[in-house]
Amino acid sequence: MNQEEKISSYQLLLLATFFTVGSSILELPSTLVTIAEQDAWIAMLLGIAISAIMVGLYLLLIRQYPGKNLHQINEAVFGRKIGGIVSFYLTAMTFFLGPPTVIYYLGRFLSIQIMVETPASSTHLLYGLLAIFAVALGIEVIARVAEILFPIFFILYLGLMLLLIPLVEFERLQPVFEHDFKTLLWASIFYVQFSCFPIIIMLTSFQGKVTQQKKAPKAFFLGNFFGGSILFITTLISVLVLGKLTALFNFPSYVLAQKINVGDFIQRIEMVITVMWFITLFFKLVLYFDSAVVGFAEILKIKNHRFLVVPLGILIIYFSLTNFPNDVYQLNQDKTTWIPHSFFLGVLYPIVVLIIGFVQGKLKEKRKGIHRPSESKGG
Amino acid sequence: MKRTIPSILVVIVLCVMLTSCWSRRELNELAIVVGLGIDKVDDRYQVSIQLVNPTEISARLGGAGQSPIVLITEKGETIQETLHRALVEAPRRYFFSHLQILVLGEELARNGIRDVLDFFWRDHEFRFDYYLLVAKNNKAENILKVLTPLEKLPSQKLFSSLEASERYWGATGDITLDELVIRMLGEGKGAGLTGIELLGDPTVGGSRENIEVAEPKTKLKYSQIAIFKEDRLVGWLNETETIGTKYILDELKNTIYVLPCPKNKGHIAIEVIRSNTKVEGKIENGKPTIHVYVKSEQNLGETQCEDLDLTLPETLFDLEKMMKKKLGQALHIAVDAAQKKYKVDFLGFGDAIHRADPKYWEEHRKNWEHEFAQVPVHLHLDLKIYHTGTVTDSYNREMEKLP
Repeated sequence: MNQEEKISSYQLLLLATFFTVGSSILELPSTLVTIAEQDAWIAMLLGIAISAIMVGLYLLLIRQYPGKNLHQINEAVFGRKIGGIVSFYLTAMTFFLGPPTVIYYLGRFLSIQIMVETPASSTHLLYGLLAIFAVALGIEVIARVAEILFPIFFILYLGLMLLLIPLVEFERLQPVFEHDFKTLLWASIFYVQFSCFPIIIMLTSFQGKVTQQKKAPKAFFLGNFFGGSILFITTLISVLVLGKLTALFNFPSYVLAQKINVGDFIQRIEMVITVMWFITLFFKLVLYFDSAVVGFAEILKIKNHRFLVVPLGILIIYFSLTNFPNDVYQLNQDKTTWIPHSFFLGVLYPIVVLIIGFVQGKLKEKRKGIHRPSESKGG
Repeated sequence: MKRTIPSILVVIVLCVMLTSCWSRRELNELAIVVGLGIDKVDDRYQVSIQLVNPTEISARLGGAGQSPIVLITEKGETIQETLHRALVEAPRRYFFSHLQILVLGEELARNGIRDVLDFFWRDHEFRFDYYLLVAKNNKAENILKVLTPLEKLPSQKLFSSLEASERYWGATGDITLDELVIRMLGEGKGAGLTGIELLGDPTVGGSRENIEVAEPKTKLKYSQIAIFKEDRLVGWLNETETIGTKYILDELKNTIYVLPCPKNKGHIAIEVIRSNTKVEGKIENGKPTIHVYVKSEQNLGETQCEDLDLTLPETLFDLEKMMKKKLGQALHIAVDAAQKKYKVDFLGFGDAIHRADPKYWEEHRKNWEHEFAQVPVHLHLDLKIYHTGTVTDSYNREMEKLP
C-alpha cells in the first residue's frame, strides 16, 4: 500500500506553496523591516529571484534522477556508505532543527497572543499529535488535506489583504532604495533560508509519487513562486500600513489584522490570521516530519516507514519543549545556527550532487563509448 | 465496526481537550476597563482604573441609582505591577481589551512618557484602538472621576466626542498608541496628543448630582494639543495652530473658517469639505526647502453680510482669494509654532526631506534640530468654493430691499 501512494501535480503545487509560506507569513515582515526598513519589499523580490534560481537547481536534480527521493539520490551519487552518512546528516540535522522549531513557533505565538495562561506543553502536545496522525496516514492524505484547506486559506488571506487597503499610505515606501544591495541581500537571506533552501527536503516526500511525473517540476517551481508572492504581498502591505513599526512587533501580520476596522462592523478579526497560520504551519511541520521519517527509514533500510512515525513524533514534541530555553534564544538560532545549516542543505549539497552526478554521467558515457566497439564486435 | 469504537474514543478525547476551558474567562468574572489614567506622584506611578458597573448601564434593569463607573487608584513602580496590585480593591479580574481611552497626567507627560507606554505596547490584552489624551493642567485621576450625561460611561463619551470633533471640527487629534510611536520614531521626533480639560470642581463631577441637572457643573472638554519633543511634553498648541497643523499633516477632514464681511460688520462661515495635503521636501542649492501643496474644497455655510451679492460669480472668486489668504496665515501660524515657538518638528518636515533625498539626510540628520528652524516653507494653495448651500442669496439682503 505504501508504494501506491499517489498525489497529483496540483496537490504538489499546494504543498510547495504551504511549505514556502510556512511560519514566515507571521514573522518574516518583522525581520525584513528590521534590516531593510521601507525597502523590505525589494529584499523580498530579491529573495523570490534567488529562490527561483535555487528551485531551478533542484529541478535539475529531479530531471537527473527521476522518481528517486533525496536519499536514493545520495546512494546513487555517493555510494552506499558515504551516501548513508550524507543522508543521515541531512535527515538528523533537519529533524532536530526543523519540526521542533515549527512547533515552538506555534506554542510561542499562542502563549504570547492568545492563550497566555495555557502552558506551552499542552499546545505542543496537541499539535504534535496532529502531525503524528497526519504523517502516519501518509503523504497522499496530507496532500488531500492541502487541497481542502487551500481555498479556506486563500480566501481568508485575500480578504485580509483587501480589507487592509484603506489603511495603506504610499508615503511609507519612500525613500525607495535607501539601502544598498548588500543590506537587501542580507535581508532576503531570511526569506530564502526558511522558504527556499529547506524546500529541497520535499524531494523525499513527493519524488516518484506524483501521478503525472512530467508536470511535477513545474508544479513544484510554481508552488514555491506562488508562496513567495503571498509573502511578498504580506510584506508590502505591512510596510504600507505599519511602516517602521513592523520591526517592533513579533507578529506584525497579527497586528495588521487587529487594525482592520471597516465601519465599526468588520473588526476584531485577528483570529483569521491565527487560522491561516495554523494551516500553513501544519504543512510545514508535517512535510519536515514526513521527510525525516522517510529519510530515517531509508537509512535504516526499514520497509514500512510508518513504524517510525510515533517514536520520532514523540521526539519532536520532546525537542520542541527542550530545545529552547527562551524566545530570544530561538530567534537567535534563526539568525545564527539555521543560516549555515540551510545554506548547506539548500545550496552546497545540491550543487555538489549535481557536479558529481554530471561527472559520473560523463565518465559512464566515456566508458560506454570505449566498450561499445568491443560489444559490437562480440555481437 | 472495528474502527467505530476507536473513532468514538478519539472524538470524545478531542471534545474534552478542545473546549479551551483551560484559561477561560467568563463575562461575569471580568471587570471591564474602559478608561485608564496614569500620573506621576512622588516619583511613583499612580494608575487610575475606570471600570464599568454593569448593572447600572444595562438597559433592561435601568440601574439602581449607583454610579455607572467605579474608579480604582493604586501606586507602584511599574504599570503592570500596579495594575495587578490594584486587584486587591477590585471585585473581579480586569479585562483591558475594551479600553477606550488612556489619559496621561500633565506632570507625567512633562517628565517623559516612554517608560509608561512600554507596557501598553508589550501586553497582549491591549489593542491599538484606544485614544491617548493628556490631562491639561490636571491629574489623569481627576479626569476619569467625572460622570457625564447622555453617555453613561465617561470614557465612552470621551471616545465618541473625540471622534465627532475630529471629524467635524478638526482641532483635536485622535491618536492611538501606534500612531504616536510612529511619530516619535519619525525623523522629526515630534508628536501631538489632544488635551482634555476639566471645567469645574472634580469632587462634584464625581458624584451623581453632576448628571442629575441639565447642565452639569463639572464638564470635560477637549482643548488644545500637547506637543511632545521625543517623549516629553513641551507645550500646548492653540486652536488656530492646531487646525493649521492638522492641515499640514493631512489629517483634517472637516472644519469651519470664519471670514469678516468685506465692508460691513458681520462674518461669513466657510466650511472645508475635503482637503488633501502633500508635503514635499526639496534640496535647492544644497539647502533643504519644504513645499506644502494644499488642495481644499469648501462651501459657503453662513453669511451675515449685507454687501455680499452671492448672485455674482465674482463674489465667490473674491471669497476664494480671501480664504486663500486666511488659510495661508493659518498654515504659517502652525509652521511658526513648530519652527520658532517650540522648535519641534511635529509637522513631519524631517520625514519629507528624508523621503526626498536620503543621502543628504544621512549627512544632516544630526543637525536637523537646528536646521529645522531655518527651513523655508513654501505654500501652494489650491482652493475652490463650490456651493452656497440650499439658497443662493441671503434673505438678509431681500429684507434690506423692503421699503
